[in-house]
Formats: sequence, C-alpha cells, structure tokens
Amino acid sequence: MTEILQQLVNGLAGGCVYAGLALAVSVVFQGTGLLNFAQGEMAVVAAYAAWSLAAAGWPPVAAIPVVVAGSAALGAVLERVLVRPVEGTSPLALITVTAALLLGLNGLVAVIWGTDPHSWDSPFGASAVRLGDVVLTAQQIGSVAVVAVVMVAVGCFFRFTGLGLRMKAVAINPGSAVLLGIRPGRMLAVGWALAGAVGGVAGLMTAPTVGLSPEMMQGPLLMAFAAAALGGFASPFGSALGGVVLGVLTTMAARYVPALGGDLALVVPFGVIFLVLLVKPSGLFGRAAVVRS
Amino acid sequence: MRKWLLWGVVAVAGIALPYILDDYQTFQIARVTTTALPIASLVLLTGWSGQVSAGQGALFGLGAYTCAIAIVSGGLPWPVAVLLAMVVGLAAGLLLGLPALRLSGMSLGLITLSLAVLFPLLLSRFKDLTGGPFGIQTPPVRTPAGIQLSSAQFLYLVTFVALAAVFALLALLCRGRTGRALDALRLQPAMARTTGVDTRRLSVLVVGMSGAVAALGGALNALVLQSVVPDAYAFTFSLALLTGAVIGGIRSWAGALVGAVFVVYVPQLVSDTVGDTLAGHWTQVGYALVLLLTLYFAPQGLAGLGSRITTKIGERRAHQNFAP
Amino acid sequence: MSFRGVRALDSVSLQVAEGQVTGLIGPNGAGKSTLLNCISGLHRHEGDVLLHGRSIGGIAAFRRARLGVARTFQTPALLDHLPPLDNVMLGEPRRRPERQLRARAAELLDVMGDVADRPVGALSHGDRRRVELARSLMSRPCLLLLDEPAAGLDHDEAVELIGAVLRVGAEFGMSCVLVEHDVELVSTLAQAVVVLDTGRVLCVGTPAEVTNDPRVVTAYLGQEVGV
Repeated sequence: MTEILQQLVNGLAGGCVYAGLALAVSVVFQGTGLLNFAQGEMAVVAAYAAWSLAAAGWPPVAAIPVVVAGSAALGAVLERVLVRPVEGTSPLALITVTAALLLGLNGLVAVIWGTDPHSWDSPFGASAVRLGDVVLTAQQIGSVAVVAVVMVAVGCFFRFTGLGLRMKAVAINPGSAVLLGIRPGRMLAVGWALAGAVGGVAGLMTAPTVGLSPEMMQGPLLMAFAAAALGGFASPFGSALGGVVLGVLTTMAARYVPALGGDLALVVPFGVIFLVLLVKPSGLFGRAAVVRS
Repeated sequence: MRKWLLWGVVAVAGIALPYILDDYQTFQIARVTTTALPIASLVLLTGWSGQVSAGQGALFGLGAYTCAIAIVSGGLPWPVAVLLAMVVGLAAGLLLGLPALRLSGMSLGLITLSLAVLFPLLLSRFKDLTGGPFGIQTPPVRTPAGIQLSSAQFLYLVTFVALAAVFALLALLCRGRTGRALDALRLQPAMARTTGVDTRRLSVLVVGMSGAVAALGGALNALVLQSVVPDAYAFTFSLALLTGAVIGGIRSWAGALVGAVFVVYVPQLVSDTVGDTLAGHWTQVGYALVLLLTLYFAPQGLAGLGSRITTKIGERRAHQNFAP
Repeated sequence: MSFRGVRALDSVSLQVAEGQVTGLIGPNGAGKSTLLNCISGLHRHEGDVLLHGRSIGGIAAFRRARLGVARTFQTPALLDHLPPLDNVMLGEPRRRPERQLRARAAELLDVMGDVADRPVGALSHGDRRRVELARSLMSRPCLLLLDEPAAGLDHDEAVELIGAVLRVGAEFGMSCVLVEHDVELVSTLAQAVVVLDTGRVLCVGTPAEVTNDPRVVTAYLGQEVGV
C-alpha cells in the first residue's frame, strides 16, 4: 500500500512538471493553432542558463527569476524574428519553423555546453518530509508548489486581465480582433513570451530530477503533447490536468508493468496520443472545432 | 518536353556514374539514392497531400531493421527481405494514418513525432531481436553470377532502379485526376468532398504509400551500409529528412534528390571542418539555419529557385526574339 | 441540427421541385448555408435528405456528390495555383479519359464567359465565380446548390451568369437551390421560394406570394419590393 502511495506521489510530482510544459504548449496553440515542437528545447536553454548562473555563484533566488524573464524574452524574440515572417502562410511552413527551432536549439545547447550530463542541486535543498511511510522530497514539494502557483497565475491572467482577454480574442477571431484595435502580432509575441516563461519554469523544475543534458526535455515534451492531447490543446486547464494524469499513469506503468521501464515509459504518452486521437480528438476538455463554412 | 529531356539526362548520368567513380564514391551515391526515397515519401505525403510527418526517419529505420532481421535471423534472400520491409512500412503507415484522419494537419505530425522519439528506444530495448545499441550487421550483397559489376556497382544500380521506379510511379500518381484530388485534399478538403473525392481513403492511401517508400529506402540503405544501429534513426534524422525535403522543394521529385545529397554530404562536410565530437550538433544547427533561410527566401526550395531561373531565362529569350 | 447547443436549423423541411429553381432567402444567420451544408453532407444532421425519393441522409458527402449533388461556396473554393481548366475538371467525380474531361471543361468555361488562362488565384472575383460555376456543372448534377453566387457581382452580371448555369442545367433536368440575398434576383430566377428565419421555415410559395407576405416583409425585407 505504501509503495503504491509513494508511486502515486512521485507520479503527481512528476506530472506537475509535465503540466507546466503542457500549459506552455497549450498557450501557444491557443494563440496560433500551432504546436510548438521547440517548446522543450526552449526549456532546456532555461535550465542550462540557470545552471551556468549557479555555477558562477548566483544564488537560486536571483538566478531563477532572471532565467524566467530571459525565457520570456527568448520566446518573444523567436516569435517576432523567426515565426512572424511565415505566419499566415501554410501550416507546413509554421511546423517547419518550429522543427528548425527544435533542431537548432538542441544543437546549440550541445555546442555551447557540451553533451556530458550534469547534475544540478535542487534549489529547494535536499531535505525530505515524511507523511506516514510516504516520503516527499523538498524538490517534489517545491516544484509542485511552483508549478501550481504558475498555473493559477496564468489562469488569472487569462481570466481577469485586459491583456489576457485581448490574447483570447486574437486566438478566437483574429479578423475581428484587428477591428477592435488589437494587434494580433503583438498578442502572439506575448503568447510566446508567456509560453517561454512557463516552459522555462518547467525546465528549471525538471532539471534537478533528471539532470542536465541536451536531450533532457525530449521525453517531457512528448509527455506535454500527450497531456495537451488528452486534456484538449486549446484548453490550458485541461492540458495541465492532462499532465498530472499522465505523470501518474507513466510512473505507475513504469513500476507495475514489467515490460516498461526507464526510457520505455515513453510508450505511455504515445499510446495516449494514439488513443485520444482515435476516440476523442478534441481531448477531454476541448470542444470539437466547429467551422462554419 | 523539356522536363523529359532533363530526366533522361539524369537517368543516363545516374547509370553511368558507377563506371566513372571508384567503389567508395559509388557507395556514397548509393547512400544518396536510398536517402532520396524517404524524402520522396515526404514529397508525396506533405508536399502533395498536405500532411506533415515528423517520423519518416522512424519508418526508414523500421524498413532497415526489418530487412536486416529478415536476412540475419530469418535467413531470407535480400530481395525478399526488402519486399518484406516495404510491406511492414505500408502497414505501419496505415496504422499511423488512420487516427490522423479525424483531425487536420497537426495530428499526424504529433503521432509521427511520438513514434520518432520512441523508435530508437524500442530498438535498444528489444536487444534479442535488434542487437541492442550495437545493432545488426548485414552480409554484403553479392553480384549475381554472369554480371560484370563489382558488388558496390551492382548494389548502387539496384538502388537506382528502385528510385527510378518509385519516382516514375509517384509522378504518374500525382498527375491527372489523382493529382487534382490530392491538391484539393491539401488545399480545400471540404470542397474536395463535395466534388466526389473520398478524402479519407486518399489520405490513408497516401500515408500508407509513403510508409512503404520510406521503408524501402531504409531497407536498401541497410544493405548499402551493411549495418543498422539505433543511433542512426534518432528523431533528429526524421527532422533532417524534413529539412532535405524543404530545401529541395517540398513538391518536387527532383528536389528529393537534391535534399538527399544535402542530408548525406553535409554531416560529412561539417565533421571534416569541425571534428568528430560535436559534428552532429553543429550539423543540426546548420540544418536549422538552412531550413529557416529556405523558408524565408526560397519557400519552394531549390527546385523552385531552379524553375524561377529557367523561367527568367525563357522570358529573356522571348524578349530577345522581339528586340527591334 | 445544432452547433454547440445553438439550434441552427429546427424542423426545416425543404422540397425542391424537379427541374426547377427553388430560392432560399432569409436574413443573416437564418441558417441558409447551414442547410446547404447539411444537404451536401458537410454537416451531420438529424432528419433525412431524399434524392429522387432515395434516402442519402446517412451517406458521406463525397458519395452524395457522386450521386449527383453539386454545390458552390460563398467564397469560391478553388485551387489557386492551377489554371481554370484544371479547376473545372475537378468537378467530375467519375473516371473519364483526360481528353474528354478537358474538352467538356473547356466547353463549360466557354459558356460561363471569357476566362483568362492564368492560375485561378490571379483572376478577378467574377472570373473565379465563373470557374467555380463551371466546375459545379461538370458532373451533370441532378441537384445544384448555389450559395450566394451573386455576391460581389453586379445585378445584371449575376442574372446573366446564373441564367447561363440554369440553361446548361436544363439540358439534363437539373434542379437548383439558390441561396441569395438579392431578393429581386431570386424573384426573377426562381419558381418557388422558401424563407428561413432563425433556423425555421417562415413561409413557402411563389416569389410573388412570398415577397408580399407580411411576416416575411417584417422579418426580413423591411421595405416593399415590387415583383
């Protein structure tokens, strides 16, 4: 029983990080209808940047906000410089840009920081809490808390701020939004910045657990996509929830299904994506896209 | 008319090359012809039917491993192994394409990306079948008795014939009625349905075919390299193929060859310049740059540039004819 | 049928007399295009579609097209990179020799008017309309659904164009549903008119009856139109 609870806890903690990345994916999708294949690599850049700062002596309290802000800036810059020129052309062009970003950032990270894996101490310290027989590490508690705060913040942003409302307007109906004086381009840049920041946080929260390596976010990105597929790409809440569910599913499957272990746990998100697309393409919380032709 | 001439020249050159080049160079161009196959599959799948796949590399690898396992463990002769690989590729394509029917653009991309990430992991995992991280070595293909060609020359010609056949088949498919249907599927799917195009069946057919073609490329490539290893089919390879397709021109068959040259030779060049350790990563950065540049400045790829240049030359000639 | 809970069409029954033109008018949002989408099979719907007494309501759109339902769209749905001829040839769902298709397509384009042989994306709106209309006639449909074909054209041009379409259609007994905003146009061309308002049928009759019906006048026209 304890074992199961422990696995559950581990799954939830891991899932929260996937939720963060899934949230980022969903934000970009809401704004552009585009799946940002490079979201994971942007998070990797954030993780490495934080690591470098920490190695240079910066305390986490200073390094983390700087990195998150930097990730936001990176997101906005990438959108403005690389994505904007092909916006409104074919979906293929957009996908190709994100694929190019994926390749490029992945390569750059390896070139700049090398391919050897590094470990990074948790900014939350190495302590742990015992609840009965279940152990919760500070890293787990901290990362769940941080991601939860971020999700709530993003939710409030979209719900209660003018900027959030304008972004949603652009996502739903770009043509009308322009007539209202909203600039779609600027909203998209904001969307990418937001996604960059959220993704960066996810990357920072993942790094202590999985270690730093150029491939560190490949698995989590797949998880994030599966989570967003499960919850509904256009639904940030659904995507985040999907992340948690997927975290639990994967951890349980890795532990209790003999054939799956370690890397192979990635079969789970693949299976989820496949099933969801087969059965309910719009995801659990998405609504079927209705196009009035 | 001019196109036939051009293709004729290319065909003749292609057949003549192994007689001019030494065995190592012939080996290299065999790598190009086999790599052109998955890129051609992308031209069909993405350029013509408008579905993006981030997993043709995995299908390529699937074909490669099927062929290798069939020969080494199954004891099958290589032509049968190659055919088997194609069948497996077809089946995999169909399996992937079916759920992607329900949604537009992104869904096939998502499934194929997942497959591309998963595939090398599965290969490493099922060691007994796949030889794990070290892969499988296939025996060299021997020239049949009575033919005066070296092993490398013979094998190259096999790949050349396969590529020519695939090009011819696909080009024929994309002309006339089916070509129009594909264009409609890609650009105006709702209208396509109201003009009698069975968009679902066409979509699935195309994905299946592209799987078979990619797998064929993989199988032949395995024979050329005489080895299959999981690392060769990492998901970055799928993205490299996409890069090659875009650079060559996503709707151009000739572009598939151009893209293949790129994908085969650039890593080599980079590795010669930069040294082995980080070569792969610098190559990725290079791909990304070229991809972006192509997208912004030559969206129809080099083939598009090529046709723009020939059009300009044609126009200038016309002007010259009317010069006072 | 409903879109996400908004009842777009409620108990709508439409009868199209064979060989005749039935006009479908109504204010914006009345559900005219939605009805066309249901008939052509692009939207799922409750209720049935009967073609010459045969039920096709459960059949996929592409099969309905092969059975003789053709349509145009509010914004001409064309393949911009292809010339007019290829676009028109797309309209024939059955397998035919290319030469035959090409000849028939050329014939139809001729009837529709003089259209330049350039990629369709480079043509004027009027020319694009002509190409789409020619395409819709390729399969010799028994039912042609026209979705606001006159939009963007001036009145006389529209009368001439749609008249040409109907003349071609008369050769094979084609019936037509004409969705339009221009009530005068509909009155000229249609033998029967159905008025839709917020998803329901408001009134059915000859053009004269309908345009003088007080319910229609209040709901839609706002002014009297002499017929």
